[in-house]
Amino acid sequence: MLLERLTTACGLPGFEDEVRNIIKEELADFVDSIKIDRMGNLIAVKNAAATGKHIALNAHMDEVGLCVRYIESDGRIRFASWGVDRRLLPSMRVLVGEKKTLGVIGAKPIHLQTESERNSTVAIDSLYIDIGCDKKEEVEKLVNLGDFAAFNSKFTEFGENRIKAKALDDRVGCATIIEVLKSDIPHKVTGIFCVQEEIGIRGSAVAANGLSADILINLEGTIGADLDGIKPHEHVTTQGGGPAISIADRSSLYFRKHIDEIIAVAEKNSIPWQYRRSGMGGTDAHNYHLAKTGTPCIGLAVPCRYIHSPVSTMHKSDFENLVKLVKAYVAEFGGK
Amino acid sequence: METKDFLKEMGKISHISGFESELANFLSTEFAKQKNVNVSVDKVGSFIAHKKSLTTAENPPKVMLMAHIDEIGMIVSKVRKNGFVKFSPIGGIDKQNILAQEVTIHCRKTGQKLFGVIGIKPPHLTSESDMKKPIKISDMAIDTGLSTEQAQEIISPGDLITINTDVAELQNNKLTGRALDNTAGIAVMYHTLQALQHFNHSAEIYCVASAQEEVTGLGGKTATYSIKPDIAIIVDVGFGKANGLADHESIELGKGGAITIGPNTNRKLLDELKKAAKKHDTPYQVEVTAGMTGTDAYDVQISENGVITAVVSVPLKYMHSTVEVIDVADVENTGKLIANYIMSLQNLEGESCYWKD
Repeated sequence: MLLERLTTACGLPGFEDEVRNIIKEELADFVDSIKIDRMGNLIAVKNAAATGKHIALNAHMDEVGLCVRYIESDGRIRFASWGVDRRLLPSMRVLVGEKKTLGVIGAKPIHLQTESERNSTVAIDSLYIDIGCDKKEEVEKLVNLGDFAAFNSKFTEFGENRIKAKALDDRVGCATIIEVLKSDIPHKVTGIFCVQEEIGIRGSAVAANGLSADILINLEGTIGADLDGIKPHEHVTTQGGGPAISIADRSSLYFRKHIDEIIAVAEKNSIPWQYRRSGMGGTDAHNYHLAKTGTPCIGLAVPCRYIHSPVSTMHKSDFENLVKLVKAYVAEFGGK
Repeated sequence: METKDFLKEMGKISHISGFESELANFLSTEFAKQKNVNVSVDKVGSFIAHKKSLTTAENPPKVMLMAHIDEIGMIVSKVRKNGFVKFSPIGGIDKQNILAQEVTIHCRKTGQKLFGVIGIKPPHLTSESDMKKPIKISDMAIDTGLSTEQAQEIISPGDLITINTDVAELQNNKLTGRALDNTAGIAVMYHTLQALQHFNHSAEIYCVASAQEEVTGLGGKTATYSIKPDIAIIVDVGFGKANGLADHESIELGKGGAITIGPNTNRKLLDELKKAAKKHDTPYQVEVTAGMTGTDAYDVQISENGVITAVVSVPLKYMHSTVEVIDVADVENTGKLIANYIMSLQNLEGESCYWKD
């Protein structure tokens, strides 16, 4: 399964190679050109010569995780965090560097914790990755400074139509673009797979300057907080409720005209949809909105519970409906 | 079976306090493969392997090795709406160690092993001050991804929950996983018997994998009462040096089993263990526990007429987490140490010899 392949690959910010290579391989037979720009973004164009409305699709290849910062003389690996909730770190298994060496992050045993340690979350500075080596020189044979440490989490189907994996944000967006570009469409569509979204939408800053499209659909995994004990107005999205359509977030205000277009397409094709009910977060859409003379954007996303964790989950129907919705939008507005 | 494989196999089996029978069955099969070993499971769930004296010595000394069979875990307390499941801990679970972990719910009603994850409220909805506080277990829920109806049908209060981690290899012969506290201790006993298989020892040997150590110490207490050993060696895990623990509160991985010195253990027995280690060049270390050891030794030492008791610990990092770490060499060296001590035992000339110098 494509999504399994994509989420199993590691693509930490600046280390998106493994993901990029999969995308290249998947698309090779279905697009006119594949270009990789100086930042590492992959840009695939389908039906380059087609005339009329040109639609672009964007997703990011990178995922949150940790970065090797220092190796202590006794082999402990100090790390920095790329967007990982520090409350999740104790008892985490990680894969370090391109060799994917297994490491663990362990906390002080509960038996020996002081009262105040029991009542506060562990600071990143008191944690480290342990790969089983007790000498710096041994660690250095396997791990380099600046290497990534990715969540060690297997793609698993569970519950009612659910998937658990790491990096659903935003491999589910990558998978959506791949599915659309593989389908039989006569219009010009550009798929953009960006690097470094998680550390400040860096890849799309450059990709946006190279794009001339009439409209861009940004595809994301977004917060699903429809959890036990959380009030309905804080859910942001509901799993199984269909693709979430953005109205606004911290970095973009989406044009009402296009929001209405995508809703109309969903209604016409009986595809369930929901609004993304939060102003939090920001996406690559920000850069496309602001670059050059401005490209209007639509923001669509699959609700992901426990996003940015090793156990993010999604409902398969949300992904399937997102693919349907994007295809239907392209069919309706492409080429016109 | 190789020590590493034995530990990996045990790691696949759920054995939460009070519900240890699956592991006891596995141990029955594995220990019974050794010559002259009889296996049984007693009425509280402790596993016992008995190996008779192989000499004609009269009144052979009775030596009991004991490592607890149970692991800490969780239990379903309530099945809520939308497939969310509330739970309570069994034993000393650290709430900070279980967030975003994958679990199996062992459903009694259907026999299913159900996948779930322990969820967490996203940071975006959490205040800065709440980010600094650990989430209480009572505020956590397992997400099974099921509908309200499906969850109610399959899951019931009282179903057990284990965290899904296999025992995996790190560098340098180290293993990581959950419940190495105390499968490591069981592996030590297994290795002791393996090391003794070609020797005629005069001691009667009992290997007990005691039930419910993590909660009440039940199995250790009752098994000792029925076996009535002269000498008991409790094998558990000790705090491995990590997380900035001071030298005086931790032992080091790779340096062998740690012999505990303190009132919960018998000094002469400790000397004998050290002597056996030195004679055979087996690495060992010592640790001082001024009070009680927090092991089965607490009950064993004062069973009936009293038992000459020692505690030997396998160094283990990150105790009571799903990423516990041990060095396989420590397990094997501890097994060897105990085997050599047993071979050194002829007869006891009355237990009081253990008070002579």
